[in-house]
Amino acid sequence: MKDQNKIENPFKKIIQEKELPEAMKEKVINNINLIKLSLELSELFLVSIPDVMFNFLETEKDKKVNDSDEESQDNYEKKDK
Amino acid sequence: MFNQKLNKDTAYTDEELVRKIVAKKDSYYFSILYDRYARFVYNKCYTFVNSEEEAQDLTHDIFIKIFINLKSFKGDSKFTTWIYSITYHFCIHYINKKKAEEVIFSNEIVESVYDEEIDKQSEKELFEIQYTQLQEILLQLPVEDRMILLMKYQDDLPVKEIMKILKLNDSAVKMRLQRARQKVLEIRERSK
Repeated sequence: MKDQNKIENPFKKIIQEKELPEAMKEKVINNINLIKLSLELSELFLVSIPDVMFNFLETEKDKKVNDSDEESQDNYEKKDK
Repeated sequence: MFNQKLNKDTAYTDEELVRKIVAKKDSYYFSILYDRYARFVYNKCYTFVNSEEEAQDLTHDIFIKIFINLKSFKGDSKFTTWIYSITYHFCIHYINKKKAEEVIFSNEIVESVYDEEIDKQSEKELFEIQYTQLQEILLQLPVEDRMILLMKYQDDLPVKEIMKILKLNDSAVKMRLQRARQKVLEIRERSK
């Protein structure tokens, strides 16, 4: 009885249920993959390569310092002799 | 194989999928999320623009935006609310841009006062409208009024959820609902 008196909500009768074309999924996923690739590339150039360069330069610097240390050690030993 | 994939697809919650996508940027997991929400987003977009072609373009762009912004989802709200919010703001921005000359959305300070009695009365009158007429009236409403009414009466969203989607406080949401209902009733009166 209560249900009979209850006013029906007209908004529920105008629900749109449209289907999205299947091709849209492929388009979205392809573009996602493209974005993913560009993010990875930018990461490579902006993070990875600078990191590698930085590490390389640091190693080279350390090597030079070590070399000069060894050289001065050699000179010191020669003088002693 | 298909069943295995199907089980795998339903095995993850939205939050688990989000974590996997953010960690691995894997489009396979994103496609599961797409399957869950594409229809929802598309139908919401269609309600905004009333054109299949435009709604499809909007759906595409919204999913790209979702992918890019996924890491900003912190789980403070339900994932559906987050998606609804992105869809709503994206569509509003699109419509405002399209009708740049028209000021259709004003974050005005509400001058009138929210009245619960008026609220109940206008709700009752609203439900008395035939759905075919209501459909026509909704198309004549500004998009923000149409959307807030659909959130409340079609999607049954509680005011708290609407607050999160629209980024408004409680009284602003109630006022907007009240105003939207009044506009519907005014249009109905004029068409009598």
